[in-house]
Amino acid sequence: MKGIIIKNLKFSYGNSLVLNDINMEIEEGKSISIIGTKGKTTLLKLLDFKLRGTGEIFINGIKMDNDNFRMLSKYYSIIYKDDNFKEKYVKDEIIIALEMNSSNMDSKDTILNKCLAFFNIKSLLSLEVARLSRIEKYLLKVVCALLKNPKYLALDDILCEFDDKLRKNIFTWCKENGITIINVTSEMETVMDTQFLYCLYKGSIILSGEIPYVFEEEKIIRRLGYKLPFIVDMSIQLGCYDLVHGFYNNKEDLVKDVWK
Amino acid sequence: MEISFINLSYMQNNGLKNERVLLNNISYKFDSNSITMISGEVDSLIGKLIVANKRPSKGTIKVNNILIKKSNSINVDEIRKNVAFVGHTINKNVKRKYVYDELKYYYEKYCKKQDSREKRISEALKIVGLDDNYIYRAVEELSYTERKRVNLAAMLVYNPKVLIFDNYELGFSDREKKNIKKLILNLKNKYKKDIIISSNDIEFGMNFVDKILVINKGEIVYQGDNSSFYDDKLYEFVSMPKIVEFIKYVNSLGKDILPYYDNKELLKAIYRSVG
Repeated sequence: MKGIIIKNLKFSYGNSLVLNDINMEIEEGKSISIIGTKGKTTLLKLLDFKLRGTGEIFINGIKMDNDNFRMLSKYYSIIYKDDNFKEKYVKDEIIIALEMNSSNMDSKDTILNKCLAFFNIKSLLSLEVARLSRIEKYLLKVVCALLKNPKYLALDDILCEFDDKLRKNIFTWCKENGITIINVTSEMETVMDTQFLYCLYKGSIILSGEIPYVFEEEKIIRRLGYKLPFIVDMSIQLGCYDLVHGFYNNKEDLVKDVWK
Repeated sequence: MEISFINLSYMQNNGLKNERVLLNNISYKFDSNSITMISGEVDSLIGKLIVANKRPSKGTIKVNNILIKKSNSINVDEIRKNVAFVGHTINKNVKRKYVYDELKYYYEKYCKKQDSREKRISEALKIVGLDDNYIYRAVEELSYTERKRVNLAAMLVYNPKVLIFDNYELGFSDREKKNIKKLILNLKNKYKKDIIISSNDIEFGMNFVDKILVINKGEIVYQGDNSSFYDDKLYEFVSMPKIVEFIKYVNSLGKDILPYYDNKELLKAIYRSVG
């Protein structure tokens, strides 16, 4: 069975309960976003087996345990905000990432050339990692993760660092290469590129649903401290004035409906 | 407090084949008791230069009476006692195991009077929205944004005159960002701090900062103030906030909506326009 299934996951730091009975299903091919003020990174670390809680995690039907988590890690890449690079030069980081790709040499060469061209980072190859800007470092992390050719790519509040164009490029690459994105985020605009939303609050999932229909529960989302994505917010508010009828995710269609 | 750049240049890989010019002969004087936002390609560089974490390739940075040049001898602690750099890389910035130890470290390092340490630690945590229950928590158990708050509290505990926020708002929810803005305004208005914000989140700076500066390919390419957020020239170098993009689009179709910063005001304007 394809996908990631999380069942009854619980985790505490000492007496502080961080995740309480989390149940989630991440379908392969259906990107998701996770918002919430606490527990998001902890959830990723549990998925990554960096932390051990109670409950079960299944990846493509296989239950994760001490014996198989390394084998299962080939299915996913997780990028954390504060991850350190291991090598001095960009090209060496790329080489290490490619070594973790289990395809044959020809496929590796193909994916490498395509990826470097697609994300336009050939000019960075000879640079020292320490000399890169913050955005370039995050882009390098993403490229390295993609070169491993995972089935799932989880980004811990990383997508919000990029502009709209680069974000769209990442989603395009992932869609074309069969990679499902798990977007852990505090920035609601990035949620619009995914198909399903989970909202964490005090360790539990208090809201989940398909985008954009989940935004009908806007009061819950606002209670969590988030604004809706701008165009969605405008659609809903203008709908209250009876000026539009339905959700829009782009300004052109919204404006056509308002000033029809 | 005076902070100014005098013919400041910074090159990465100076003299090598892949040299990158990040700052090119820039001169600028920061206003006192104001909030200046710096956007563009410079990232954390400006903040790191001001606190002498990095040195200029050429030119001078003046922090009060201290001149920071490429390789002169300076009293770095004297700078950092007065200028706090609140970075965004939390694992590098918050180094002690417990919250109390982190704040205590900075208090003892930079405060002359040591008698009110416990009170100052508690107050600093309160300012950033953390109560006394956090004092003895282990930093590794805290969420990313809680750690960022601890980092800020550790800077506030010794009452510096200048605070440099380096992409600090990233990772916070919208409500938390609103609270951060309130805090920064309070620091400026009530406590008379000088504030520098390094960020490309123009929406965060809208209707809030006093000055905005954009640096691109080493040059200051734009200087503006709080009225500049609908200036097209600003957006040649940085991303446009969604509300600005929307209003400009609507006006390009001949609708004549005023430049708003607030969604509620915009909604009322649209209603009036359609009605």
